[in-house]
Amino acid sequence: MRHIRFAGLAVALAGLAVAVGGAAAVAAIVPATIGVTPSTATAGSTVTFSILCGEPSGSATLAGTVLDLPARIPMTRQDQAAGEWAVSVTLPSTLLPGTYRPSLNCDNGLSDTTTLVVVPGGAPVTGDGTTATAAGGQLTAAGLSLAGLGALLVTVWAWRSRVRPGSGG
Amino acid sequence: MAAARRGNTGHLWVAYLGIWLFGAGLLAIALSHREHRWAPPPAPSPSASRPLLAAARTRAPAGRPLARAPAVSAPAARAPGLPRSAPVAVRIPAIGVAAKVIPVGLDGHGGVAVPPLATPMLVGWYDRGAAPGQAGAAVLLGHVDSAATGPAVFYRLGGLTPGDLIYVARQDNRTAVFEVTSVSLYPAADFPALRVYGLTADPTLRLVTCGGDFDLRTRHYLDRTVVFARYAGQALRGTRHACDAPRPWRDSATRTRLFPGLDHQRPLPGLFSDNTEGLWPRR
Repeated sequence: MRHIRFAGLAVALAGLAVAVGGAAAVAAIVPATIGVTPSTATAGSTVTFSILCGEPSGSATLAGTVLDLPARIPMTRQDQAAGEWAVSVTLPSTLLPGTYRPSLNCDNGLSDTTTLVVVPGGAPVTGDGTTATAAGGQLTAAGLSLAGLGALLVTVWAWRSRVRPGSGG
Repeated sequence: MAAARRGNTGHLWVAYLGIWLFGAGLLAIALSHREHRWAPPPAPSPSASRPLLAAARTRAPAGRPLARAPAVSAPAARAPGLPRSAPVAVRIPAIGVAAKVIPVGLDGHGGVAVPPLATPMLVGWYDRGAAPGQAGAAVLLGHVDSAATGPAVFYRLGGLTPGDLIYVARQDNRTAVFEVTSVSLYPAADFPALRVYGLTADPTLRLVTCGGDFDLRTRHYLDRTVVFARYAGQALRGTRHACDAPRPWRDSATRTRLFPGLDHQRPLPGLFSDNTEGLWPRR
């Protein structure tokens, strides 16, 4: 009976946390009844999972299989709130980018999943430069300077060939 | 007289060299013009990226009226978004985009794959992220240009401004509508992956394409254009939408303005024709 009451309390708190999280710009910073901080990470970085199991709760685990981690990672009791459990894990550097929903399980039966996004690296290559500014610009500049130099040489020649007979005679 | 002739012929090589250089220069200019027949894609204006900060700080309430109001059902305040369903087509009336969407995954180097350059009018949906309309960030990628067509599907992406609408048709016969909140240019080396792909509490949409200068040595663009958009709701059935309106560049004057250098006698398939007609929900 007490279990059910606490479960009910936890669900109510969950609803509250969702409302609070929705109001804040970055939901991940607000301690929720279940969550992961940061909720967006790169492979190889460290993230912290937490869950509010309520009392009584003797242990809690993170099901790490989906993250290429051990299947049952024990969580540690937190002092901040009664019945709150947390664990920090380092994501494998080989973990593929994507959306992961590992589940957190309390020994009192409470269980839920939380969403973790592992982002891809690098910038997508979207184009081959056909319309790029630099593609033709350099060639145009080279062409202009060549033509300019040529025109200069012709002018110099024309000037010299006009002046030469006068100065020579 | 003889001295004068000797003077003339003695320097004739200068004239020859001059004429040769002049000709080579003209040839280079002509070549560059042929190579560079397209106007560069539009770059996001600084004012388009400014609302990004404001949008990040103060999230607009769910029911806020749209800047350019279409008939949409406002997203529910508590449980935002739609269930997961793959996108099949996208229309962006402001820049005349109407394209089919294909799912893309990873490229094998930990990055996101893109549609092949041989099909530059297709848009890729990063299928390891959220679906458009689902809570989280949905990412659509498109080419800015390709040797086959010149301008590609997201050529004018940088020309979008906050308030412009994006329509995404989904496999479940729903149309998710998004409103552009900001448009920014980022260095490719400093691509904001966490911001683009990162988890958002509400449904959001990001459109990504290449931009900025092109590095001729690496054959890669140095920047990326990113459009950030927020979910505005589902398009209501039985109402007319901007995405139903005729493409804005049906007339040749608009075409010439948007695509200077385009051979209008030989229109590119997919650039002016809308081949997504059958993918949109029946009204």
